[in-house]
Amino acid sequence: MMGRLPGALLSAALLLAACGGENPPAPEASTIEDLERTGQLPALDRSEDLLGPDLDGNGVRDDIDAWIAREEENPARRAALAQLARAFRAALLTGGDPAAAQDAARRQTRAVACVMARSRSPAEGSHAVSDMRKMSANTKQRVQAYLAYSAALDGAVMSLPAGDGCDD
Amino acid sequence: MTSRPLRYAQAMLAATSMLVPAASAGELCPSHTHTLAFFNGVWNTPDAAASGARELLSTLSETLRMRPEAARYAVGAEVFYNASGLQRGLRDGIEDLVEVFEQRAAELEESLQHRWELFWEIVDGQLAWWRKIAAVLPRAHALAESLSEARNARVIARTAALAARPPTDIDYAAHALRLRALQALGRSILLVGHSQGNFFLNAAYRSAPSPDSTAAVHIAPAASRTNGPHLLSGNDLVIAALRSALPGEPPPANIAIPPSRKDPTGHVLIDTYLDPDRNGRAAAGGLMAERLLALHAPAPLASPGFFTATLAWDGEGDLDLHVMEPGGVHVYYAARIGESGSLDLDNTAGFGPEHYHASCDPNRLQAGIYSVGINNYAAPAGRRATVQLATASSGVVRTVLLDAGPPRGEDGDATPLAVLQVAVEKTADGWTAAVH
Repeated sequence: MMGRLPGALLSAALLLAACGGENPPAPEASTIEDLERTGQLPALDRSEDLLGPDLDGNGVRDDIDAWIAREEENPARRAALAQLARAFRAALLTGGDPAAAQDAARRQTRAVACVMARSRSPAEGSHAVSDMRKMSANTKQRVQAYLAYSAALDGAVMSLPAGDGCDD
Repeated sequence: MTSRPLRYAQAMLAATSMLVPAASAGELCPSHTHTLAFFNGVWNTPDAAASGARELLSTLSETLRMRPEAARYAVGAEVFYNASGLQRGLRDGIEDLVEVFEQRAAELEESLQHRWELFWEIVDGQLAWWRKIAAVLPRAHALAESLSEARNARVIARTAALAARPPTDIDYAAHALRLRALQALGRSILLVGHSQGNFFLNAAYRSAPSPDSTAAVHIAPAASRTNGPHLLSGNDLVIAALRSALPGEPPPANIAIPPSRKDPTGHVLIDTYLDPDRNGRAAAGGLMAERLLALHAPAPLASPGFFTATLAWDGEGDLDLHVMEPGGVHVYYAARIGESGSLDLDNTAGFGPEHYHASCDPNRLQAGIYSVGINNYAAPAGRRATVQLATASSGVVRTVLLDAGPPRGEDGDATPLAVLQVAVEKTADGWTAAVH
């Protein structure tokens, strides 16, 4: 039987960081919208469409495109983040089909390796990957699509690319 | 139906002709000597598992670069993925956290209700965006706390369920088959598990063909049983919490990784154990390198290929792998050498594996469609078959699990059960393989 205490202790540990705030918001921010307007949080598309708008047709949702452009100056790392965004987009479309999920996973694994290779530290790389998941699967429908993709891969083997995995 | 002695004679004849290596040139087949197989913890999404494997490989490579005896090693990494906790319908799974998030966010703060990116921070146990929001909306703090507690309770319950009923190699047939295929290719294998991934590692280790060429390293093990050395920080709060919730005696802490704001739980693989600024990374690299260097490469039983198809099944009896090559040659147990590739493993007793490789020699490899199928030659009906396809450039690209159907003997040789097709193309940029 699981006790309540362990979970509560862990939550307290996680929240310790929340109290201090490593990145306190700028003084002008007093609402969440302020945080988004000033670029401290991404301003994200929340439309019902699984993929969201991609007006320039580059395979990256427009709001994520804007986030990449604002967050990253290095062209090579920008390209890596765009590759990762496209891979997440493909993962959302798999509909829980195991074959489609494995194809998308191969693409995603390459993109993850590319972002990690072009990041300045392991933590920066892994946080960029999780940030991309947060932004890509940011509505209930998108969360459920990503969970279906993940569940379809249960028991799969995913190989890392021999090189850096970058498409360019 | 072919008698067993006749079939054995056919197999021996084919084996004799295969003493000449079927793949003469490695030009199309860059090959690894070792494989790092990573087993992820529960509630790990595929992207998180891939970044973990990538960083483990970097950590190992850093250490191996300082070891001259490893100069000729080529180590590849693969994620042996489990989606434990992420599947639908689990009582202690993530699905009901989706509902909890929606309800509590609506109750406490409507402006957070539609911000599902915050849901993933709860899943990951990383609250960077919650922290920013809590600074302008203090109520968010209580919500994050409540959701984190709900998340942690479910993770602990899922871990307890794994401890009570550990996964088996039958549950994870694709993992077991990949290990056997790698061993058949002569690769040494290092299994590395993090957190609850060690339950899955243990299942795979039990099915590993040879202990001389397979080793295990456990990082932050949630499982009490280990099959190799482990690394556990005394400041790992997740394992400390699990310790009081799980039966059995978990391995003792053997390193103190100083606490850091990067990861208040002291448990996350990349942020704590592989953090370049603290002592865990060097320790993990050293542990993995020592185990890897002690491995003996198994004698190769099969050849690498531009692509390979491997078949295994879940019991005694005889299933057969069939490949129809683009030139029309039908490769199977009675005709093991094709124009483009060869069946280099044939198993008539049970479990497999059977293995076909398409040549690495560009002068032999044919472009076109390869049809991969199976036939239940002489196994009880209902055998569960696993067919795994790997390419030289991408590793495992597809695993298919299917019912092998009733036994059909030789009658089934001409019409094997179709499993998948591989389209091999030669373009100006080189050769490609796509699976359909």
